Amino acid sequence: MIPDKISALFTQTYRYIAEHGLAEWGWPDVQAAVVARQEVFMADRPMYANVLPILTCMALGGEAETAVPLAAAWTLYDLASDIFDDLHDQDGKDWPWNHWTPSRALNVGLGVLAAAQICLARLVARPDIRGDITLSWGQTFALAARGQAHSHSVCSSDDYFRHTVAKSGLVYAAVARAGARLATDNEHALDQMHAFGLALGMLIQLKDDCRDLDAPDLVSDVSAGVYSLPLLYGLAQTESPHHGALQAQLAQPTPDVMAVYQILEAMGAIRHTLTLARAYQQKALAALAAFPAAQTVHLSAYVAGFFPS
Amino acid sequence: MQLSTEQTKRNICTEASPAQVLEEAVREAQLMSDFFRLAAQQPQNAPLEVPEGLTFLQQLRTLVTVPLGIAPMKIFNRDRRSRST
Repeated sequence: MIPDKISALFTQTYRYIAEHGLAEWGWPDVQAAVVARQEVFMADRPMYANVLPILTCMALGGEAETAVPLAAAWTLYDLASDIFDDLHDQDGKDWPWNHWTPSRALNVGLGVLAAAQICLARLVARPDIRGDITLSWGQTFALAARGQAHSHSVCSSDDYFRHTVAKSGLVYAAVARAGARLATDNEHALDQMHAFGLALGMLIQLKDDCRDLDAPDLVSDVSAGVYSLPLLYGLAQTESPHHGALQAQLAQPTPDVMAVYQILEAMGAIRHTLTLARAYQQKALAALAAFPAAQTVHLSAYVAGFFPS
Repeated sequence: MQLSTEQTKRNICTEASPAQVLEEAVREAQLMSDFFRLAAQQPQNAPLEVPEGLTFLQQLRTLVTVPLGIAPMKIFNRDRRSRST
């Protein structure tokens, strides 16, 4: 059950996008992409992710309204990133842009990026704070794009972690810190919020990588030749009685995705990845403990919900 | 209100560059992953050596013993349009 407060912030964020990010230069395709995103995320846990900078601003005692343009910008950057990722991965997710020609989707992605910049430009904050956030997001999102570009060349756990930290950990770290930055100049508090976001981003990606292996209706990472942690873990267990079966499956032109998933489960690869995800969950909660509990109640509920007890 | 140069300087918060943080975070992830992999290969009651510098893992001993008894988890959102978020 999503708290009313989160639903209200989510609605406020999308209203801001409609009124201040899109209204002046109406473009039906961009609006369709934003509306599709809002409808799918509504009343579900991804709402928390969209309003993350508002929650981290509030955790430091800031006013929620101050951070709404930041949440709007982040929501649009995230949407643009997914549009570009889908163009890259071609894994069959049922979003409107995946039914368009690549050139149409590409231009909509650029339009969404421009709308994100409009929202960010409308952020009301001291110039040094705005500069800090803009620089941090620019550097981080550039690193994330580089990570995504090399997702098909991951062939070791070091590659995998480098890719995952860049594409998810650092992105959530920068977003969490940016919200907090609106409320404080305290470096220690900002470092804590950065650490929280980093752990959160790792948790999200590790869970997604397990889920992506178990998706018979879509092109999974296995079929796409993307080696995420469970696969790398399985391939490293050369003494395992299941190792030969795993290698044989991966040598097939079209591996049996469910068979691969079952082999990885038997090898402990899924469990290993989820254990690591749980460790990051604990790390995120530990970082939040630095702040007054009453101010982090929504963030804590969000993180705890990844592995409900 | 316009901030003075001195005030502005005082308020500048320097975030470590993402590229620097990347290296540190990759190292930590690798250490944690190695630790959990080795832990899963040991008998449950064997004492675990926590890597130096990862004191955070001291608080996570339950994670390396409990998962062995957990049934395979089916916890994923089946709607592939949304992420685990």
